[in-house]
Amino acid sequence: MKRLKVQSNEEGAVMPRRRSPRLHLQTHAGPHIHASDEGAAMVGRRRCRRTSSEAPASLLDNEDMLWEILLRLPSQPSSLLRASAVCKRWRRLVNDPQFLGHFRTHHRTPPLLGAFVCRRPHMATEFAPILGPTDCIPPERFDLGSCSKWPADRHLLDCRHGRVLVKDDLKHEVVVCDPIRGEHRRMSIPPVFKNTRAYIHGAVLCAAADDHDHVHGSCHSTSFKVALLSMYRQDRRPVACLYSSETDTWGNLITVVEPCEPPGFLIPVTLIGNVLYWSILEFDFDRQSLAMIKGPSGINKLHRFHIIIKTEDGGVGLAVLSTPRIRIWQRKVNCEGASTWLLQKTIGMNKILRISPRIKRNMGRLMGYDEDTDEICLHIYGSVYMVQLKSMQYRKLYKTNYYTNYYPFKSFYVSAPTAGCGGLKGCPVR
Amino acid sequence: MATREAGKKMIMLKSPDGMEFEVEEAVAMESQTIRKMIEDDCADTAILIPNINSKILSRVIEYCNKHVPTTGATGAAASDTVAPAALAEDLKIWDAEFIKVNRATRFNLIQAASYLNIKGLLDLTSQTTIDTISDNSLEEIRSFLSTKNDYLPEEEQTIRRENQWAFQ
Repeated sequence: MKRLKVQSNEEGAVMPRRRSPRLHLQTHAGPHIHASDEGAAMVGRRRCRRTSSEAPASLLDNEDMLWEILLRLPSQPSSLLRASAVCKRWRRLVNDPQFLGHFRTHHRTPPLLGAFVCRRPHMATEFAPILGPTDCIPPERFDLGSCSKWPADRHLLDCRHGRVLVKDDLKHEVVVCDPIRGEHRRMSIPPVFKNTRAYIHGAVLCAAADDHDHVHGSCHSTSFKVALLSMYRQDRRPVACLYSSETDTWGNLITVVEPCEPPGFLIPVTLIGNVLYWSILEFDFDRQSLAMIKGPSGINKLHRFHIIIKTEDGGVGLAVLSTPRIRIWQRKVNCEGASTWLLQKTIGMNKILRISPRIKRNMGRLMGYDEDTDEICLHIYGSVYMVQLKSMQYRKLYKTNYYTNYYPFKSFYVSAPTAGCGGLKGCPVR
Repeated sequence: MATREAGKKMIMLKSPDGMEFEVEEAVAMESQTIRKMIEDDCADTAILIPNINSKILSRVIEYCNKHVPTTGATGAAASDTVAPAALAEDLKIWDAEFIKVNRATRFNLIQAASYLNIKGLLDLTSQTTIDTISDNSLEEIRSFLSTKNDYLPEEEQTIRRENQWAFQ
């Protein structure tokens, strides 16, 4: 019997130990290990395996290997659809709910499929795909149905965790749409919001948002929350209210003492932890508290030139557009609760976007922010751009002269040959 | 058989074709499967690794040797003195060379990594396979992975038609 001695390389480069095999522990749920009578340890597995030491003639012979390989397909929508078309066994595997659960866990973040936008006044809100040809889901797949009709009376308030929030002025309701499933759920807006000024701002989020084990992007069966915000007509005090789909009820009204000038537009919302930010209005829906924070450089109003962003350490930052520059601030809170703002960096937008340096002041507008990718959406010189704040890489999305909010839509997407999904038609990962 | 050499505990791994490999316990424990056996005190004697021949097992050990976190004489992790980014880059280059193997060897490495529960190796081997086929046509994927198309022509047509955009 040959014996080889293998030792670690003392001079070899090392790296921090890789993360624990999250997938494996879940996939194989703790391999069963036992010692044989002879003392040689044997290893049991989830499924029977080939015993040949040769390479398998076909991956179909070994489901574990196929599982591990297909798990690493890109999260883009065409990946699993194309895998489904290879053969029937692949199709069964990529539609296996257990596999899909691990697929989501492996990728953690669902792909950005596109955005819901309203390109012109009184035009219907539509889905604008953002991916390349093979992943470009046709807009009609995400038709919001009745919610996109009568656009003068129906306003898109938010899009998050695979759901879209629409306000229906005709019925004084808000509608939570699941564009992939084509499902709508309506709820009456609390009467107090009839006595508020100007716009009602809103946010929708998965109720499992604070659960770190939960992967967003196919939250179709989980409960959700809706938050609304406006200002009282008489004294302009902000007022907020939270709806829970679990109890199907609205919670208490939460207000602040200070008045706030109502903005003449819908404010895009930023979610950081359990706190929603409509510009400088901070709504902690967990603690049920509403506050108006003081921004840097005397910023104390809600307008389109600044938006709350999430800092690298998960804290609160602020992007302030002062064309041709964007200044990035970070909020620091001391042990006594007092906050200060530190200027992190100043970005010359004309250099990044390769637009004229003679751009006029106040030409641009901030239209949205994606907390997951740390990208801001801004409108400048008749075009809409997404700019990643760390790398400064940008994408030019489309041309429009209409200032409108941009609502990124992220979701996993696979084929699902099950009842209710139209045979082999594309359907969300459940 | 677990032995000690120069203060390091050694573990014996046996392949089904009769080869024995003496490796440091820390290296062997890169495999979560072996780690569990050691922690459960089931590894007093040589550990038989079924289904993995000596050629593949030696490559697996080579991978684990490279990826095991080492400690210096003071016990401080080497990563305390070498920039993590430089270490990661070095490992990335090493991995890229390591995975330059033929298809059969790669499949065997996937099987071994899955069996021994070595996430880094499983990621490397599986991801390389996916990267190889991701831009290929369905026919090329079937050919590369020796997979038979068992759809009827009209069934495959239906699948393509339902999500035509994904097959452009």
